[in-house]
Amino acid sequence: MRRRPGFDFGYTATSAIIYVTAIIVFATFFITAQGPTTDNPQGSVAYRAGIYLPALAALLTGFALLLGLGNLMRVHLGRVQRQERNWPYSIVLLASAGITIVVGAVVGGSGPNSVGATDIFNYVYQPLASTFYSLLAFFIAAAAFRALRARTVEMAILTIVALIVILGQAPVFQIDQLNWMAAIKDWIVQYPALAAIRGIALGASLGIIATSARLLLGIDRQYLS
Amino acid sequence: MDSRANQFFTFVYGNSEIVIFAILAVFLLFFLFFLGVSRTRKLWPLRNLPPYQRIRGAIGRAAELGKGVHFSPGSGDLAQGLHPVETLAGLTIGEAVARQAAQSGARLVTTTNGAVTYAVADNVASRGYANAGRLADYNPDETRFVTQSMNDSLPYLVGAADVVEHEDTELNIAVGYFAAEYLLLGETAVHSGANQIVGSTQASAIPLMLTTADPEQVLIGEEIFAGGAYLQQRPSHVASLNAQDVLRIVLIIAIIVGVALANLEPSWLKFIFSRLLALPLPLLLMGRGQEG
Repeated sequence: MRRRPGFDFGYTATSAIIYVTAIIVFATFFITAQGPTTDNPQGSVAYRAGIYLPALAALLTGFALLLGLGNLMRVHLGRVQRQERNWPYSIVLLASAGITIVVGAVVGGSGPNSVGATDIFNYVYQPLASTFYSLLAFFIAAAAFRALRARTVEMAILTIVALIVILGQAPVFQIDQLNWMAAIKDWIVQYPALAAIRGIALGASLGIIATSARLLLGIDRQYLS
Repeated sequence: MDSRANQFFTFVYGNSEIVIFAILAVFLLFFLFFLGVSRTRKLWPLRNLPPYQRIRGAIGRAAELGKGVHFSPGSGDLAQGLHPVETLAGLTIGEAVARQAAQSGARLVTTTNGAVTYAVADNVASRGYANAGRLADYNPDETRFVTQSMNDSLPYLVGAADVVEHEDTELNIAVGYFAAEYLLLGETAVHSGANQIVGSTQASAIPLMLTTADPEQVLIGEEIFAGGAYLQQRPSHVASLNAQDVLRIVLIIAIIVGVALANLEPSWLKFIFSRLLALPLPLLLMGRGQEG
């Protein structure tokens, strides 16, 4: 939605809906919502807002999903039509998406928990995902080798520490005579690594607070215009 | 530790929302102060962050070579509670990337995980082109919905890696939420010879980014939230960066003083918790309907 010069009713109305919704959701985090009672069987306004607003978000996600699927179809049908490089893969993708939707909706019930959808997940998706995860082992080896070749102090420290942590977890270093390696690994994980992770987490938390506050105050409006 | 300090900690652990509210209130105070100051005078200068400084040049180089730019706002999603704020930070950078791609004439492909993220990314990319005065050049098919994956970021990263490998990509910009699976995208970019500007808040992804990209071009932790200030010079983003810096300095001082006191003079630390910080405790307990 693009803002028109002067007073734009659509922009103002959308902004108002967003701010009011944000304030309600924000408030429900800080107050204890009164659930249904004999006097008020529907519960307090905050309680109902806590139920209905997430449901509304799910509904919006459904509509956005249709947009996304439309984009997927348009991109890949266009590739097939123009016979771009690797266009047969686009046919495989579109066919896979179509088969998954139909099987998930028809075979053994409907929805993500139907027999058809579960079987596709267990017997098609899982083996493919495991194949890609196994590739990561080779990628890690390649990345470690490149880090060694970089010949900088930081990369040397990174590689040595990674090597100690990997070796410290190996079963052979768990026996009493060799458990010093596991002790070094534990020290690295519990002190320097944890300190760095907490430092990053604290900084990131401040960034998250700042971004959220700007959005809640309506100062960031780039997603509206 | 005396009972008053114990009571303080019990209250803090049991009422985390009040602590969050207090932190937010303090942040807002500094933020509004710096926003007001920014209207009359210049705020603290921003320190050098090479990844942001190199984005414009890297996009220009991709345009000169006639190759493409891939942008990813991470494998998080705005609607499913999957690190939405990191995803928003990535999209803020995405808008600047779209603007510079439009100005230089480089082809930009944006990939997203999650339907709502896709819809917002489409809006953000078109806005970037519009800001450059080249909305007519924007091709909606170059912003792509790849997956609707909730707990597993691998399918999205496989889709993004496919774009980097097969669509003649010179530059891979990936800033947002990434976990260890990021390696798949990073290594693919290395093998296809693409330059990379990347960033994440996750400790599981940052070391992998440092090994697959030039360490000078990696945004670490909170640096990913500074995109609006560095790339678009928005006053609100610069003011919030200043407010974050103040809070960070306060936190660092508190940690150093706390560690020093805990080791050297614990009774002073007890005094701080039981006398100073616990001062508003009776009022808060009364407000919560608990015994004082």
